[in-house]
Order: sequence, then C-alpha cells, then structure tokens
Amino acid sequence: MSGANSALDGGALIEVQYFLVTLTLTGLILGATVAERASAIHRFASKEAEQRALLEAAPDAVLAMDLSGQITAANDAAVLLFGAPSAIILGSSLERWLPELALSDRDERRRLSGARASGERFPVEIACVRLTPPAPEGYLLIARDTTEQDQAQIQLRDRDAALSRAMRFALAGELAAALTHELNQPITALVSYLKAAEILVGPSETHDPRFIETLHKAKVEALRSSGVLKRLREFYRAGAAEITRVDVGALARESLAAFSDRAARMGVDLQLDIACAQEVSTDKIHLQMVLHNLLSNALDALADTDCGSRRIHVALTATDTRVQFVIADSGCGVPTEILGELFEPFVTSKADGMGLGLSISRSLMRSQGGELRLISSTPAGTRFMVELPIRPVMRYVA
Amino acid sequence: MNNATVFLIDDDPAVRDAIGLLLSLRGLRTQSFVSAGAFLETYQPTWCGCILSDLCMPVTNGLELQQALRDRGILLPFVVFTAHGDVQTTRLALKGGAFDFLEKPVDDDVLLDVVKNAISQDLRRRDADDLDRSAHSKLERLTPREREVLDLVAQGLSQREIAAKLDISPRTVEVYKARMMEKLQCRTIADIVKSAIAAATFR
Repeated sequence: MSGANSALDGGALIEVQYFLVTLTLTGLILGATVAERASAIHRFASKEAEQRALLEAAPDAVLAMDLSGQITAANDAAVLLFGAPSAIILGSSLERWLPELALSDRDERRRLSGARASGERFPVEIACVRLTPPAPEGYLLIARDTTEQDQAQIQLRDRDAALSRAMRFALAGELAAALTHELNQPITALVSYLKAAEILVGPSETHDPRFIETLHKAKVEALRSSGVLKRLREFYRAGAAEITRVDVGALARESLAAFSDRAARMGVDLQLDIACAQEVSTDKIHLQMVLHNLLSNALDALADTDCGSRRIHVALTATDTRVQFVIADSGCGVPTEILGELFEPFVTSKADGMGLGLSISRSLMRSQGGELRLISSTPAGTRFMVELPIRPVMRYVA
Repeated sequence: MNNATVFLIDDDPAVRDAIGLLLSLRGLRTQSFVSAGAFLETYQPTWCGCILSDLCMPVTNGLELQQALRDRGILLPFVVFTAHGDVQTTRLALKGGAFDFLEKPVDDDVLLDVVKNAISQDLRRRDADDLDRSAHSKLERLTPREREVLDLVAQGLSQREIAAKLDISPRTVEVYKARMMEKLQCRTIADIVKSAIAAATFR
C-alpha cells in the first residue's frame, strides 16, 4: 500500500509542483502585465501632456472637430485668431469661422477667407485632415493668418513693379534721346542743303516759281520730322523725378539685399560700409535703379574672376552738401576699347547687353544735379562713383 | 568782317558740308574740323571769328573742348551746336562761358544771326586788346621817376606837393611831367588819369 500510496503521493507531489510552477509563472506574467499596464498608462499620460503642451505652444491655430463639424478642441492660438474665448469656440460649428470650407474625407491644404468674432474677414491658410480610428473620428485643422505675409508680398510686388516700370520708362527715354541725336544730325544736313539749294537757285524769274516753293516745303517737312522726335523725347523727359526725402543708408542696404542671393551663389563677398546717416532729397526709384544697375554690372564683371577673390564693396560717405556711393568690384575691369565712351548709349562689353544701363543711370543722376563717374578701371577691379546733392537742385528749365 | 572765320567742329561729315555750304552762300568764311583734336592741333593765335561746335562727339566732347580752350587761353567765342538739346549739358556749356546755344536742326536766319554776333564780339575784343597793348607799350617807355610823377598827378596832387613828396624842386617836377606827357601822347589831365588807370592794371 505504501508503494501505491507512495506512488499516489509521488503523483500528487508532482501535481502540486506543477501547480506551484504554474502559479509562479502566472504570478510572474500577471506581475509583468500589471507593471506594463502601469507604465503604459504613465506613458500615455505623459504623451498626452506633451501633445497638449505642443498644441498650446503652436503658433498656428489648431482645432479638432467631430464628424458634424462641431469644434471639440481649440488651442490658444485659435482663440487669438478668431478673437473669441474658447468657451464660445468650443461647441460652435466650424462653419461660423471658416464659412468657405466644406469638410470632406479628403485632406486639404489651401488659402481662403476666415471670419473673426467681430465679423472682420481675413486671409487664412489652412491644412485639414480627416481623423479615422483608432483616433476619435472627426477632423483636425491647422489655420494661419496670412494678412501680414500677404501685405509684405504685395509691397514687394508693388516695389518690383514700380522699379521695372521706371526702368522701362527710362529705357524708352534713353532710346528716344539716342534716336533724336542720331536722326537730328542728318535732318540738320538736309535742312541746310535745302536752304543752300534755295539760295543757289537764285531769283525766280529764270525758273518755275514752284521750284523754290517746293524746296521750301521739303525743308518744312524735314523740320517737322525733327519736331516729332523732340516731342517724343520730351514725353519721356516729362516722366520726371518724384523727389522725396530718402534715407540713403537704408536704400543701400535694401539694394544690396536684393543681390545677396545671387552674390552667395557666385561666392561673392558683398560688403557695405555706411559712414553717414543721411537723408537726401531725391527720387528713390531713380537712385534704386542706378545702384541696381551698378551692382548688377559688378556681379557680371566678377564672373571671370577666381572664386576666392570675388569682392564687391560699397561705401557710402557724405560731405556737407553731397552724398557719395563708391561701388568697387574686384572684377576684370572695363575693356579699354570702350573706356572712352562707356556712358554713351549702345556701348557695351556684354554679349547680350543693350548698352543703355550706364547711359540711363548717368542721365538720371545728372537730372537731379548729381553725377555718375568711373573712378578707375584696371584688370584687378573697377570703381564707380555716384554722387547726389543732399538738398534738391532746381532743374534748369530751358 | 575781313578774315573772320566760322570754325565748324562736327564729327558728322554731312553736317559739316551742309552748314559750311550754307554759311559760305551767306557770305561767311568757314573752316571745318572733324574733331576737337583736329581744331586744337591746327589752331593759330591769329585766327578770329567764332567756333561753332557740336557737343556730342567721340574722344573729346564739346564740354571738354571748351575746357581745353580755356586752358590754352583761346578766347574765340564758342557757339554750341547740338542735336541733343540736353538741359544739363546746356547749363554746363553756358556756365563754361559758351557764347550761345543752338539746337539742331536750326533755322538758318537764327544761325546766321548768332554766328555774326559771335564774330563781332570777337572783333570788338581784339580791338580792345590792341588798345591795351599800345597803352602798355607807351607806359613801358617811362622812366621810374616819370612813372611816379604820373601816379601822383593822377591822384590830384599839385606840382608843389609832388616836389615835396619826391624831395625835388617844383621845376624838376615840371620837366618830368612834360616828358611823361609827351611819351604818353597826353594833352590834358584827363588823358593822364586814363593812362594812370591803364598803368595800374598793368602793374
């Protein structure tokens, strides 16, 4: 019996041992699961806190909506954007704030018009996504006010448009002036030849009286064509300067900034030294055009220079009566064969150049009592000088 | 207008030819130059008349020519003749002493009028120069003593006062005064004063 007993006992022992092992294992697994769960809860909580902080800190408005479009969450930026306390925003329909937006299953990113609590409309850029399980079903929307950005862009566009309009006008003016000069020479010869012919023909008894009359008519027509040129020229000259007080230092900075990308791409060291804080009575756009032109020329001149030694240096100084810009580059210099007539129209060293930039720039500066000069040009660099009177100079009227 | 000439400077051959022809048909002598340099190289001090010059020319433009003329003391009246009608250049040219400004193409009567005025101004200046020169050469013939007497007479001093001032006898002063008046070909006190003023400008 004892054997059977012991056998039984042996079997029971094993069972107990199994049981204990199972128990231990279960306990271990259970313990691990509990610990896991606790840490998961903790992780979740900290993640949520982090996300909430992220939402609150976001500079853009963030909104969550349920499927019906009712707002379920909004951050501080949303409160600022729509100008309403969160108590009003929460629970309201998104349509009230973004009437042009129809929520759909498709993710969206676009610009539209928003409405503040005051009823004011404003431009806004939005990104909207459809949330699907496991997230609670609904929508998440991010909105950004683009009023300032739009205004800055409009300003920039206006300035560019004004600059290019002025440039086109000056270009046409310079062309008209060049044309006037080139055509007035032969017209002068023509008029004088016709008058000489009148004298040579002598008194009318000896020939058909219509002869002198005809010569005279020809002379009148030649003079008329010259008059047309003169009016054409005056039309463009009348697009005269608009004189305001211009901070030349700020203008110089602006002009250089416009070239900073191009300079960086070419590896050009672009430097500006402003030794005076001076306001000058001048036409801002004209001065801008001149600096633009000189800087653009300077960059062109650097194209064939070693990358390591590409430099442009602009210095602004002032005396009691005048301000002076010196624009120096380390480029290849002006070809000697065009040095003498550098400021004449249609003179250029560039394959695709019109040869009007310097000619226009000089005309613009001189028309305001200023000057544009080449100071020096060597194969190691070129220096131009722009000078303007601080006080306006009365334009001499012929 | 004896040998007065219009010196025509223009880089355009047709303008030179036509204006030259027209002026010569109106009875004026002309001489043409293709550039400012060509004029300056051939210039003679005896030339009289006026310059009729284009402004916009290669190498040396009209304004630079004006400067070169000033530097060399060439006083021929300078008439600007330009196809450019540029206000600023006009102003500079006139400030630089241009006699007048003509815009191309020009009415021939206006051209003739301006050119004739310029020529007569040059002739007047030359006459005045000649007078100055003859007064100068007369003054140079005076001795220092005679020169002193001239100045003091012109200041209105009497013979006796001059004698005291120069520490010589009135009789001697009278001799100097007579010799001085003879050399200067003066007959009256007024002539003496005129000569003294001329003398002051040459001192």
